Amino acid sequence: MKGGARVTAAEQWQALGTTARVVIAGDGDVQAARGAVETLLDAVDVACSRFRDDSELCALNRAEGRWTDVSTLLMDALGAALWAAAATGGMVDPTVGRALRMTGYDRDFGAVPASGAPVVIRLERVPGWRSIELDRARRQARLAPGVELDLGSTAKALAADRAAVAAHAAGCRSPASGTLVSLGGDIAVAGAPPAGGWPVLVAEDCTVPAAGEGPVVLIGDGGLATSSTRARRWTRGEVELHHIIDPRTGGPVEGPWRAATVAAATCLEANAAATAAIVLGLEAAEWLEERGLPARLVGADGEVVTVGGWPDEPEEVME
Amino acid sequence: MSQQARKEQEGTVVRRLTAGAGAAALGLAWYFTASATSAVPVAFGAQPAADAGQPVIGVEQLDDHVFVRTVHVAAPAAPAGGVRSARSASGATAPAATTRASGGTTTTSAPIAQAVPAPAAPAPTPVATTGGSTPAK
Repeated sequence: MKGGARVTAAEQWQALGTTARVVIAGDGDVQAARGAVETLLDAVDVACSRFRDDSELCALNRAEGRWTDVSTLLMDALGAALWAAAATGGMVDPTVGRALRMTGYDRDFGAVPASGAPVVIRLERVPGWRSIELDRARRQARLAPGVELDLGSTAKALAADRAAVAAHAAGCRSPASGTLVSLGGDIAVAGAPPAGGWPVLVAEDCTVPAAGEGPVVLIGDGGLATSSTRARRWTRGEVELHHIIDPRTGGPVEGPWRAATVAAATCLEANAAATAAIVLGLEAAEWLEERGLPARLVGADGEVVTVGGWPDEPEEVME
Repeated sequence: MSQQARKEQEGTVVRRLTAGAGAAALGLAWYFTASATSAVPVAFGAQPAADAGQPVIGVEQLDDHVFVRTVHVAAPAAPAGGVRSARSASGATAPAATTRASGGTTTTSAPIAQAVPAPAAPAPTPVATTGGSTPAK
């Protein structure tokens, strides 16, 4: 990995219902970089949030089968979600909005009660991404009646990719400097990395401090994303639920992996592959290997499986 | 022309007639034609991600009315530089592996002759965490 500048500055704040972080390596202006990222994230929130009545996405979800004008940003986010669905064989499907709402995830996660009365969940296959129509020439979109979209993961990952580029353009003063942007653990980089690469802690929860315990990997380009059933959990009745929906059943995934971390050419691709791995279950390792994607899977019992050139982790020495 | 070749030719003609008549009857011929000639007037399903490369679109013309449009979506790709362990990248020399079996036998493996290890460079301090997205409380 080329590069060589040292990490010089970082900023962190709350955005999109999670933590945003921008890091500069080399000569740069971190405040300018943060400003560019904030502007972008504000626009993403207005376009893609499922929890703002005034968002474009909510208007589209309410349109009941009518063609709806959308912004370029929402069109791109819809395109990204459809790409993720197609590229993962439907394992990452944006039409899980209603299923998520029925499980209780019907508002910004910070406001979702940690526990509550039992809910009745009707398990049924989600409508499917092919029920979405885009007319790029007219910049319009149409959903089949009753379909509700959730762009949560892919929109955030797309935002990370664009934020890294925006931060680099606004905050880096030389070709030898670079930026890293993290949006709730979805990481994208742009420009020249520090010597050896950007060091990133791999955890199951993005709120673990970067100096915390765990494996540390280096990336020089592209993106890194983790999907985990340990994050965004809540309880209804005595049943613990989480936010990763299996499109085949409409219910939270029940599989062998509790976390999947993937590196890819972009954060969007990494995010789609990580979520697909959780949904695919036992087939995940082979699916990732076939695509040459470096990945780290953590089983329900804590066992770690690495594929696609992900660096081996030293086994713990027994005392 | 051999009998086999004649049968194949007839079969192709029948398939084209069937497809064309079926599409016309359903009023879909305009759609296939429009899709093929103007690329994406109305696109169902797969669209490329803005940053994931353009899809490869193929159009096969079966006859004057029927076109088949195929869209190949790019698969997720690995990062050009891959992923490396911060431990090995730091220049630190790996210690001799020591394992302890459940019976209490200890085994240490190390090269018989080895150069004096260079001082281990400190492992780089992580600048970010990847993990499941949880809102900060």
